[in-house]
Amino acid sequence: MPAAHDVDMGRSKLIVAIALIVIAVLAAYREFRARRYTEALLNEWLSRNCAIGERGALERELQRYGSRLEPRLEQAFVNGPPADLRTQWLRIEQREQKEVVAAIDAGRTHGLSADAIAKLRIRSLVAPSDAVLNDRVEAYRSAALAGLGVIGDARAREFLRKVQSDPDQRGYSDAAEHSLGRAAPRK
Amino acid sequence: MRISGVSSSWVTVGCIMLLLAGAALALESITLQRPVGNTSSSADYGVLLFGRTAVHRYGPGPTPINIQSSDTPLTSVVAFAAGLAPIIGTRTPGTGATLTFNPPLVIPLKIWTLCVNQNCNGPFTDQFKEKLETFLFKANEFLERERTGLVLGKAGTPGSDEWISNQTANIPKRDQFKHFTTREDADDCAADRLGVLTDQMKDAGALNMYLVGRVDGEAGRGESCLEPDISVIGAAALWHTMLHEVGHNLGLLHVDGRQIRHYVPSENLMHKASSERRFVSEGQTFLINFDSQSALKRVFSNLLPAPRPFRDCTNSQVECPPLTTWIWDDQN
Repeated sequence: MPAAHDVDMGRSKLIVAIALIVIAVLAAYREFRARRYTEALLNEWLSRNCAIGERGALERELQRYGSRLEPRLEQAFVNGPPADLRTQWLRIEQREQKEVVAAIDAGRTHGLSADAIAKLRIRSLVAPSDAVLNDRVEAYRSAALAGLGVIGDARAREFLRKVQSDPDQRGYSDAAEHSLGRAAPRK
Repeated sequence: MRISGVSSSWVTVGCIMLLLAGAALALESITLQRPVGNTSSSADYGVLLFGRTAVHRYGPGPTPINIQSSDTPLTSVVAFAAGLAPIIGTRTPGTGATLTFNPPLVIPLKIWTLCVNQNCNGPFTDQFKEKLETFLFKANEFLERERTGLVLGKAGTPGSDEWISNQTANIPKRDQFKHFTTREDADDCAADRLGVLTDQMKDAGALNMYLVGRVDGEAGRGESCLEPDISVIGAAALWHTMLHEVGHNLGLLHVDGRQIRHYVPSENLMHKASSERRFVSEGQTFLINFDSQSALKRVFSNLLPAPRPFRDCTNSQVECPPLTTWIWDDQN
């Protein structure tokens, strides 16, 4: 028969083990929630195209989760939008083009000249290529740089400086410079 | 035979009267008429019957639309149809109403192009003009399909290209506003800055849209500064982002899933982060047309064919259908 203090030791170890497991589960859950939240934050930032009435709320959240978001924003700029997003955008463009052709064929011109309508119809009959996504890609990548400007810590500033001076990113050097201006070290 | 001193014939008459009144309420209808000269054969109408606390939806369907409502306190009625301006009226319980639509309201649009790309360093080309024409076409398709009763027209002399003003060579203005910012420490939406932007560059009778390189560092972003006739658009903004800013001009604010549950929220015109905007609710269309915050009242009331009964829909005592109200199940 075990001595009383052996039983107490066994119970203590069990309690400690359970406590450790609970702490680990809670930490994992917290991490899961934080990841999910920052993912949603990232997506919202990259797809947002108007900020009326927000009073900088999203920017404050970006700064709060800056260290988690920085690598994702850097990736977003370097790689551009992921393949599934491009596919979704192409599908949208395709549908819009079909709707334009249908509207023109139904006789609607919405004030455009016959020449403009004819050209619009021809453009809308061409299967959408990646070229029609240029604006969306530019918007996405410039949003990534702007996000880094909002976070504005040393790592973000370093990345923006690299983009600014990279001859391969000449189209974005101006955007990087502007974001750097925003990312000036806070007093 | 007498019942409590009342003759049975009087009871019969009373019952008949009650039945007739009930039948009148049950058969009450709203008759909808198209404006003179409008020969469209569309039979797709919708009606909202509403008061301060309730709204009933009828349609879509042909005229007359039966409003089988015993909710007699509801007397405000508004009707919608594709390509026509929504019409508001008063219903008399038991007799219904006849409403005659007006043609859509044409709002002139003037686009001031300071930048054609996000770096603000390219010339204005035919290709860029085509991009603006595509915007105008798609925006008007949206406005017609969603029964807003509005058309974006070209400002300036009819048939001319004056609706687009090429300001890419206006270096002082271009360089001041190519990076439009709305931060607290550098707010281009402040009255004095907007005054500089619009100086010599504003058409007082039009919606004025200014194309810049970026808004708050982002090429795809737009900003209306909550003004009724000004919007500022980044060079890579999509056509529906441009129309979204016009939505702000017209008095609409952002919506999200809490307000627009019926639709995929991001497909609503007023969602702030969307890759495709396709719908407005009838509640939003009501605000555009009848809310006192709308540019239709603040700027364009002189274009209205007749005085319109605008309402302050921010006041809960005023009868307005909720923002979320819909008639057409637009999901597709």
